[in-house]
Amino acid sequence: MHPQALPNESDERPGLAGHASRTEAFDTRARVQRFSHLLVGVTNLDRSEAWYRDVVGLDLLGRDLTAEPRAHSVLRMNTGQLVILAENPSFDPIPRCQIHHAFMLTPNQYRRAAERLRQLGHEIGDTHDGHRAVGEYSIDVADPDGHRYQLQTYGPEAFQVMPGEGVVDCGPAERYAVGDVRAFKTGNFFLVRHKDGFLAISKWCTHMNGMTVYQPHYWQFWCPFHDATYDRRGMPQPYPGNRAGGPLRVHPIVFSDDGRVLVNTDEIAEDRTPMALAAGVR
Amino acid sequence: MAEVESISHSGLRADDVRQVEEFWQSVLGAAHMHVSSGNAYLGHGGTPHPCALLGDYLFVVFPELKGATLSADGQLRGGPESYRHAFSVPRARFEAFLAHLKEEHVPFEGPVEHPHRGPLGESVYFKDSAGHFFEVCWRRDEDVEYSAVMVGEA
Repeated sequence: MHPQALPNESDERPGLAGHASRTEAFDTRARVQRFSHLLVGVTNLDRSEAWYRDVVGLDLLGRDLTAEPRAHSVLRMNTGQLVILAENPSFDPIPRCQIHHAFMLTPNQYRRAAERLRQLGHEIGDTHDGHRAVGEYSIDVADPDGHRYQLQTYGPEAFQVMPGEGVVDCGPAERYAVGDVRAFKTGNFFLVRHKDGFLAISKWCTHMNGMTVYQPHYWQFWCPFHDATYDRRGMPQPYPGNRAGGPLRVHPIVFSDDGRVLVNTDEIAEDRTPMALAAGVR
Repeated sequence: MAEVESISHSGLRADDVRQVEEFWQSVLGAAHMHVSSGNAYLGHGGTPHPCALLGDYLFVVFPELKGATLSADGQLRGGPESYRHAFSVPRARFEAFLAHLKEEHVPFEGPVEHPHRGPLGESVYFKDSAGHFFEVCWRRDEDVEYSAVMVGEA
């Protein structure tokens, strides 16, 4: 579940982040330059115009500004993208299904939208509540004709290093066989026993703060929120489209005098070399 | 100032997801992203769905097994009965895009000129293999500096 219902305050425009991080594989092959507008059918232009302006918060440019033969309204977002509402009294609402469109807001716009929706009596809901990474926010709304939208943002907390929980005692090193991967809830890390030593790998995905899981059949860590994958040293799996934002962070390890593995989850280690027991200190 | 920056993505349906993706890639130059299935793991019942990045926009396509053709054969310019996505090209590249549609044997309607008082210049209309309506236009405000659409770097 989200630790909070609203993002931390920020006027930063979020990247497309979870849903559309551009990858190295992205190229300039697109024959179109940018998204221009979304046209939607509405049964009552006055009613819908008011909804998109007052509930969503779009700027109304005016009516009948394009060659659309039906009566229509043109509304604009800050990036110049448009929503065009075309009046069609015989419009049949699309049956509830996965068809939807997502508005991207800054964190502060999102906070204001949530407050606006509450004041207007709208229920604040998210069909994926509890299934989003930390810092990823979405509100489901539907226009008067049932067109489904998401109001989305990514708060700055989505990209910040998550706080640790101090030094975690993982027990005697001798209990770990080469190949073992043990997940620790306290401190949210995996302790991995490699042939050349131990690595304490943070569970927090570096794309956004989704919590990764270990997939033993694939020998990899996987973030179920946006499908980033990492090998057992926390390095992004090398394939186009992997959304990993960089290697998983690693925590420094020390061994106690009696051979116990101690992981400092408050710190991030620069050196990713596995810690060998004989070395004592990395 | 509006209280919204952009539309980041749309979720659509298609009965032949691969065919739709091929259309978007060959005709519009979309880039395949990945097949997302995370929500299924998370217990939310999500359907694995491919994503395609087109310019600064993302489409996710959900398999629709019951048939998802949205429009009647022959209808190229639609939207008021459902929705239509429109992308822009620089005015200088508009003719080249029309030529590309012809090369790809994509039937289209237009170009249609828009009123000078509005933000659009000319548009052509067509639909993809699943019947989703598309429009490609050039815009009269193409030199206006709006806020940039942010596309994250993975």
